[in-house]
Amino acid sequence: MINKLLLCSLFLCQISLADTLTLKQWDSNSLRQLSMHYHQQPFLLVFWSLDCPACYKEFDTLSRWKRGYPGSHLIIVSTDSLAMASEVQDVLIEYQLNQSDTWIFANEPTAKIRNSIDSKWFGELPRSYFFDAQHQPHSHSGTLTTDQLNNWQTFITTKETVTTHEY
Amino acid sequence: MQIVKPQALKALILFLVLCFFLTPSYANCEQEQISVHCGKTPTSIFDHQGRLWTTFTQNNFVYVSHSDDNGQRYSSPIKVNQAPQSIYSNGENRPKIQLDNDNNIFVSWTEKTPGRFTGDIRFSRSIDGGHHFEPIKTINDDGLPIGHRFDALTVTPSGLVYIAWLDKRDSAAAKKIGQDYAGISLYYSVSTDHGTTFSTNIKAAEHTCECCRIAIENNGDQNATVMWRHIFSGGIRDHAIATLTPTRASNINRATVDEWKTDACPHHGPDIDNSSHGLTHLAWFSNGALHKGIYYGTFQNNSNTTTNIIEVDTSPQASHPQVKQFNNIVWLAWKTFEDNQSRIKIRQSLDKGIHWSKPTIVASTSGNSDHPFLINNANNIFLAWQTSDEGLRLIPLDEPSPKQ
Repeated sequence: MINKLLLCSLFLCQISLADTLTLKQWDSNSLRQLSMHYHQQPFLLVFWSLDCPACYKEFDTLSRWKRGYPGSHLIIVSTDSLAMASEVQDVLIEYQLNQSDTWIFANEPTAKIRNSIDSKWFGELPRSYFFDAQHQPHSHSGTLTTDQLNNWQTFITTKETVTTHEY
Repeated sequence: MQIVKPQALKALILFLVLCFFLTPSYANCEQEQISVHCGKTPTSIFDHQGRLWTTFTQNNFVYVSHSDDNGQRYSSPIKVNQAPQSIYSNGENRPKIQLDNDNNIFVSWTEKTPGRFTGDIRFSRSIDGGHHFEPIKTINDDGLPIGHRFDALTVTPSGLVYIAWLDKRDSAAAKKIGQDYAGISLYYSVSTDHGTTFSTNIKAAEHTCECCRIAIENNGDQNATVMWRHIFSGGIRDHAIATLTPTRASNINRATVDEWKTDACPHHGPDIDNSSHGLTHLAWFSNGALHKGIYYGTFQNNSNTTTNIIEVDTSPQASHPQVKQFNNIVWLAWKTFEDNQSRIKIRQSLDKGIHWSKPTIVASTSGNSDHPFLINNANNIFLAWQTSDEGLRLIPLDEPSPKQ
């Protein structure tokens, strides 16, 4: 009985989390799962944190782009701890980015998660990865500009072959 | 059959969620236990009698605890702030602790104030051996609800208390009149009466990076040396160094030339050691065009140049270096991630940083971990490192390292 109750509680706990937190937990397997989810579709993956002033500047740009192209896949991952989930959610709502695919780092060693994404990423933020339809990544440290996002949009819309440095 | 009421189920769910997300996984931590092992960002220093003092945060309080057996057992933690505060408590921005020759204890921290990237620099001292802490002082004196963060604290041999921090007042003033302003500023304040009063705020530098810790060390009897990530012309986020005196700051000198052009937040401040006469040992991280990884350099005080730049570890994930000279040996410690483990590696130099030993692993963990610190008493140098699985460990470095 106790086991059933515990199992039931855990199940409801997940539902409860899903109801109150639209953030999914990003762990060291998530990039692989994301790649399967967006099979043969390009996506933009952006990492940020609450204590990163440059990330907020980028959010203005990202928000405009996402509103202009709601069909483009934008995945936003907070590198903050799970205890900060509520604040993370507030910021995403404030910048109207809650319609994106939103995540927060899971309770797993940060270094392990970062290593699973890119062993050459030292942790600076914001950090972005453009994944083309074949899921070849192109990384960028620092804020994304409107020009970069427009170039990316052109690329994924026309599916023209462009070299990665153009976006 | 037992019926579970919805409210009880809700409480159980909440309990499970809290247990899962909030409880430190250190085996001996209970939900309400206040300790250096279960709290966040413990930072430690030895006093002249060899007693270890550690400050840490837990449940919106700054605490101080001490140990007389090199961290085997700790005293009951004493609250520094009597009313709860939102306290910045992460690797780069955490409470600091220092002592003077009379074993007065000084603690500084950054309280998060309403708004984004805002805060005030707080200070308190104990003059009764850590039994009580005095009412809190606010060190920034502009009265503005803006960013004053990343405090750094040192106490000179003559007893001057220096607190430096990153300050947004110049940036805010520029933005108010529609001007662009790169980064923020470095300000400091000095107490010449053992922390009873502090000087008016003194500007040391403009255009600093906003999100990296400041390194500060005594410089002789009266002065202090600070090193920080600066924003040089063209958006280059390399490091600068300056000397602080009780009345003014020296000119800024460039400490590193890595050519890291970025508008990203590195969250990666430097470290310094001033134990050698005429030079300052530097350790830093860069992802610049010239240098990528952890580096060591010797800043020559007579020429204001950095020489003897050594590539310490350029492997991916090498981070958060510390440098300390002890008994004529210079030690470097830093964190890295290999084989699914966070590890602390060290290197030693017997000739003031010219030649270095090969890296050695001195500690590892599979869970989450804090930044590493090098601290010393009269006899030994230690690695102080808090990990979620093992708590705060103090590992002597001049003895054969235990296999981790």
